[in-house]
Amino acid sequence: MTLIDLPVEMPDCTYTTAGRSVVSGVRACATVISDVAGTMHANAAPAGIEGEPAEVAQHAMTETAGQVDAAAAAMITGLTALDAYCDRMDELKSTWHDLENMKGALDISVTSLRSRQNSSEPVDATLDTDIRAHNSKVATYDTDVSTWTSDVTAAENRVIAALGRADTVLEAEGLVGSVPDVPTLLQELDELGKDPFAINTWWLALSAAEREALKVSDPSIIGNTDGIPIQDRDDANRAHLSALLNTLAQMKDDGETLSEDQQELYDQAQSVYDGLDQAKDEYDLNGDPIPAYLMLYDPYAADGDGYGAIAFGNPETADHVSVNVPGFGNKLTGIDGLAGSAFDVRETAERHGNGTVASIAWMGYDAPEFDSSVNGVVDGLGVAGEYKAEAGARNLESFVDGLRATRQGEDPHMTVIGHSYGSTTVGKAAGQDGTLDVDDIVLVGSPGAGEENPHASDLRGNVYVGSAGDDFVSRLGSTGDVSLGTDPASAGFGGTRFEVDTPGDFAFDDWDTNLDIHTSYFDRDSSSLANVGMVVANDGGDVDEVDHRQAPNSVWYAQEAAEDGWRATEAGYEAVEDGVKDWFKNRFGLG
Amino acid sequence: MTTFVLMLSEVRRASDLWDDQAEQLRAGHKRLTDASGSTEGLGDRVGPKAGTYLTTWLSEVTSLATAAQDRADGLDQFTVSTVELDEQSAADLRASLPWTSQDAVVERIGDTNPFPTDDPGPAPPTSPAVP
Repeated sequence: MTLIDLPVEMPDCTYTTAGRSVVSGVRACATVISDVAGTMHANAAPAGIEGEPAEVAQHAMTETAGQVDAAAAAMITGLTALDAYCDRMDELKSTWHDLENMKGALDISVTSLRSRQNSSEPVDATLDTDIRAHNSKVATYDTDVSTWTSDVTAAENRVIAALGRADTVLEAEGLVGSVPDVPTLLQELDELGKDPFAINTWWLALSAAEREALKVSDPSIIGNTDGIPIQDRDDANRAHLSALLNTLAQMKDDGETLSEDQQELYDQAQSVYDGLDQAKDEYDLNGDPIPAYLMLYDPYAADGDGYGAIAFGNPETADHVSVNVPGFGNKLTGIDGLAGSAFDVRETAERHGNGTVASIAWMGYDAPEFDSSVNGVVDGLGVAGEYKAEAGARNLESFVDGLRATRQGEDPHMTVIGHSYGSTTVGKAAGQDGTLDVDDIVLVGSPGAGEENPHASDLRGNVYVGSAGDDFVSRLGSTGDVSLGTDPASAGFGGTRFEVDTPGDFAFDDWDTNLDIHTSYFDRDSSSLANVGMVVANDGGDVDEVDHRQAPNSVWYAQEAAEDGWRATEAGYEAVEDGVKDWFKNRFGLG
Repeated sequence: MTTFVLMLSEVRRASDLWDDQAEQLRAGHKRLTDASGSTEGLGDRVGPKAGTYLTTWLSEVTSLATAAQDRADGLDQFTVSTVELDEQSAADLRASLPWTSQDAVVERIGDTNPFPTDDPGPAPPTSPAVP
């Protein structure tokens, strides 16, 4: 009788993803230390200074510069090792789960075979064959467990050795000379210009220690450079965010009153955290946690309005990638709202079952900054014109090029979604004067895709348009006066117009409702969001099409004025500011 | 005895600088403290070693933050307590200033205005203390 082999017991795996918190904490602290080192060096005695040696030796900032250099060296050493260890252990933990499942199956097999061996039934003709097959699987499993154990031990030994080299101040002083030469690396990066493909190749050729040193010393450069892989950007930006927020929180704890600018930074940081938290405890259709990446974090950009981008799902590996581009009045303090829209787009698209989806909330340009009012929006059109959309288009092109440069495998199905003035930015990037080339383009609540793009065929990508009938911003598109190009919902433009909900009726004396209508395209369970999700999932052919607008928008405004009656029209007209009154008067003969 | 005159605006700038560094270091300390609460997740062998590593750097960052705050506080205290110094005090004070601000402590030659900016800072004592 052939003996039934028993699988070896599974070793424990006490590593958990919580270990990553150690890495992010050390990285955030290292970022602070690096900042302090920069300040101390800037105020230290210059190297080779001629003077009293004793005076230099006792100079506190010179001395402190040396101390923080040692601390920074120790943290970069530990950080590099811990990050590599966590990467390796994430893989090995996955293998461990596979082995655990295998062990469970083999235990069941043992029970079943023993039962057959002990059976009083007539001879079991296939039993020996089945036992040999089982034993072969056990042998493979045992080997895999042994290999796994060796791999874990090797990973542990590496990180333990590295931490051991950096866990005393004296040892750290000896590490200072081995820290990567950050200024030289930054010079190399600078010489690559803005070519995300060249930057990606350069980055991948760096050592792990060089990457960590760069992320710690210059997180705002590394985190915001297109072409650097998303995980590294996220590491750098989160370290920057955490260091900044903790410093501001510390000031508050110390009883200081934050200045207006500092309070703005604080509010921005909170909004970014709220945006990232959209993915907290959320899972995709496969039951895996939805990752959130901070792809862009520059709170000082756009005169302090700030830039930011949050991705839900991994755009380097997803089958479908979408980018949400916001419009009027968007600032980093409001990125949580934009992130919510991107999160919902991802979820809606994923339900189509066409593959994995990553959706990005991208606030990477200086959107016209106006308050949420009709005065703000219309003033915005008059003041900003297409200038800010043009500048934004260049940033968007670079960002999307960066997504392609860091892509692992084939290009994804790519959709760019522009809302309001953001649709003009998208149009300028994908149109005649731009270089953006994507599969699909969605323009919602659009006042125009740019003067130079009067037809959907001027844009690279299939063009889908969502314009609520009573969205007054989408009624601004025209071929003349203050507008941002042809109305994309018009028959002449030629895009595919899809169904959207209209949560209210336009009224000259109810601008709150008017603005609600303009900002409802990503409402959960709305027709608009469902159609956007179809496009993102590469099911654009299935959108609920509706007819194009036939009459000029000036006719619509005249009809609305007539419907409201003069009293309401006059009341609405009086509610707006002088500049806007002039605009209405010139545009539609009102007032 | 040589008498020195102090440029208070430079001292205040240095005080702010040290104070900012102290705040940053305390913020960094907080993140390291958070990190040290998660070392168990690194596993049975690595967790304790990471704990030792973090303990060293928590201590060092605390020490750096305390030293920076002490220097800021010391400068503040100094600013309001004295404007004339003896040789040793001048040397001590120079040690806490940025290297480029060493000239803030100068030998007194005739009448020198210790408040060269529009903002004169704290009023000097009516009877300057001469240590």
